[in-house]
Amino acid sequence: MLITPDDQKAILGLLEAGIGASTSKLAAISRTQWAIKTTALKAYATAEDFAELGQPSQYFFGAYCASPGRVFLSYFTSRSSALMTQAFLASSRRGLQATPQMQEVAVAEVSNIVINAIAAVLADRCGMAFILSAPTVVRGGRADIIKAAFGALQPVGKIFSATITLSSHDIAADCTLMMMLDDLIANFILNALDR
Amino acid sequence: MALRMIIVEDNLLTREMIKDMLELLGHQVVAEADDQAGAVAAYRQHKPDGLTIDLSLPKEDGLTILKALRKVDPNVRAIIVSGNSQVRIREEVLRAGAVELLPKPIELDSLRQVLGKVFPNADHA
Repeated sequence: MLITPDDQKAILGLLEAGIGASTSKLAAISRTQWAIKTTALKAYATAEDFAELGQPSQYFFGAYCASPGRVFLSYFTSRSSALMTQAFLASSRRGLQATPQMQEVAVAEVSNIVINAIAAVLADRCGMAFILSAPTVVRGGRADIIKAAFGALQPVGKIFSATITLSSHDIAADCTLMMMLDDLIANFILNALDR
Repeated sequence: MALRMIIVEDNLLTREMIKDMLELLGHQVVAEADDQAGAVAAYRQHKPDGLTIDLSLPKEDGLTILKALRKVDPNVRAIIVSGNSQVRIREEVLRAGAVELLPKPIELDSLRQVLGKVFPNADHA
């Protein structure tokens, strides 16, 4: 399928609508405001496209959730994930400790929540219904994380990817959300959108 | 009346938070599980007043677990917990016999509200 610039614009519009829901969820967890920092689209993405991304020394925590033809990935810098873990643990009165293991557990759940928020907007706007997999935790360099998420997608045809980075000025944290769609799902979404 | 509840959730942190909130509301968590086999076994053993079941679990999804529990007890009272707020999934959840859907992130007030709907005769502190 040929994804035209108009198609890309339509999917980006949809994603931005979904991001509103995700930022609300992040705000509820961190008790701070979040805003879009950057957006990027790639019509014919491969894992190799992301091989050079990020400084090798930078470490990220993230998680992806998948369903046939689509993968949603959310990841945080190490520092941001520590802040989100603290915020998440603060809502429990059990005095849970922010151990490295707990950081993974927290990132998995925060990712699960923000990913499902964006996925719900996409599904509702397009008349779809799908249950995403439980989150799979990924950690390492940015390219490693993205490649792992790509690996969960068994695409029909080409892959369309969209990336949105969010930031919270209040706590100097960031969160990157990626949506990867195969041709079949991208086509379904474009047909469903009333343009 | 305090409720006896089972939590079906794979994420340790969320499980702890639900347990924490249920206890804060004056209820008792009698068992925890993270898959269908564990949930069915715990349900048979403890015969609780109700369950909270996460929708997205690694082995089986929450709807599959709910359907298995309904074979054990057609009157099972389950609250599906999820960040998935898709309109059609919500319809499917209710069609599958869940009494309510509790959105994530879970807040004490929303849990209290949902418990009030599902168990109107219980006290929720």
